[in-house]
Amino acid sequence: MTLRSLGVALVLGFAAAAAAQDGRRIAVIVHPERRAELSVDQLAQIYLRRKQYWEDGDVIVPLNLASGLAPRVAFSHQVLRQTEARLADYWNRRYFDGVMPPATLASTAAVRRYVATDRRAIGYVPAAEVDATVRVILVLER
Amino acid sequence: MSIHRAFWLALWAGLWAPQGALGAEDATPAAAPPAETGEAVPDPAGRGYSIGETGLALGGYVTGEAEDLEGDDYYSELEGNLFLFYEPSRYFRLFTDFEFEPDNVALERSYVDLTRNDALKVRVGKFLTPIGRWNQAHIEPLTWTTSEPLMIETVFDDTVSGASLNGTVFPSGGALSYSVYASLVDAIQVDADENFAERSTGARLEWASLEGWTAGLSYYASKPYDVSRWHHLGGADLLWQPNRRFELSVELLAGEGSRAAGATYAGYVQVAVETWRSLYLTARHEELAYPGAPTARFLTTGLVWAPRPWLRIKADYTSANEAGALGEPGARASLSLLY
Repeated sequence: MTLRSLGVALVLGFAAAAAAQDGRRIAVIVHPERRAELSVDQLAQIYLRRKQYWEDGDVIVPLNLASGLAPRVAFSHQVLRQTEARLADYWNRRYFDGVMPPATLASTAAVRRYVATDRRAIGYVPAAEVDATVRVILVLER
Repeated sequence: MSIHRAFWLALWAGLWAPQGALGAEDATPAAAPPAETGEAVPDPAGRGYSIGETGLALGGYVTGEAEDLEGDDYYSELEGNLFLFYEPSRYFRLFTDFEFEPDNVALERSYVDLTRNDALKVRVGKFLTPIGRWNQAHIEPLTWTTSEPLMIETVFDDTVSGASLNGTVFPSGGALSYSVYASLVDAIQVDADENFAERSTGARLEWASLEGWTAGLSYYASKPYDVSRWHHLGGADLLWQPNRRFELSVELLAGEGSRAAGATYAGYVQVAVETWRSLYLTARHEELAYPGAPTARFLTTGLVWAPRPWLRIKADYTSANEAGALGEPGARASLSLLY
């Protein structure tokens, strides 16, 4: 193997590793015009629907992924720090008080498309699926 | 079709339907799916039913219960509640809860929430008295036992007809919520034997940690109809959920409630432990010292099967000491579902 082909192989290897890493990371996305900064704790409060308003007074429209999808399982575990079963109890209690859980979309592509059109929205997708139509405000390492 | 038959048919259909169809595994389902995407996941069972784009939704729960209490005849009852949600904007929300019993329809709660931001919300109407945790979520599909602690039934009025200021702020690690409330009018549709306070006021402070525990402090002042002075009651409560299989809850009350003059001390400790596939073992110990009466003690032990998030089947037995007759010791069972 020449030095040149070794160099190409190394570059490709690094690129593949970076892509795999991107696939494991979760990007929290908002509309490009939204200038908010969030901590993981604040993100949790949004998805528990305790925090319902952006700092500018707009309502927050949090978007969840369908149950069972890998990013959702990771998000529930890492951000909400609860299992799906425990969250079900939580939402039963909130339902009794008239508060509903976040809207659920069927795919990460649907989340990205919706966030790109609604400046109130917030969602999460694998980092590798982020494009210029949305803005990343937080990256979660899995 | 009778209400009994409809209830059993709905339950049968729910238990045997594919889980995906009911969204039974979907713990955080859609509230108001953004229909514009065309890819919203439909509302699962147990979270109400939206009526088009009107902002109106219906929901509720149904409970069938049976009791075989010491010294009483066997008794069974089917009752249901209907929730009505109306949220034309995110700043205005109407919530109403009707209770249907075999011979009665009652307005359990009805209030309007006007929200400015997370830290300031005004609630006006008839709402549950914000004391402790149990009284604010006391329905069968949410609790671990078929009966509620006697202190919840006998120390203070469980609703307030008036207004409250509520809000939440978010320090690192959790949410700090407050509520300050006062009755402004005579109680709205409350039985005379359930409404002892001519006027009441109070406050509650609650810390909900993101690490699985919640603690609260409550204060309640009441002026009973037949008394000229105000009564003052304080309370503390704790909920600890270190993992999905264990829950500990504690509530304490001390002072004068709306229903008796003189110092009352009450408290309970309750645990729920998952033993096998949604089958929970539950136990609650309660003590209640009413003015001028010996301390009543109760122990309730039982099983809860929760095969779906919207369904709970319970059976338990309450024993009491000699002073605990008011707590109606005996066996109880219930089946309840959210819809």
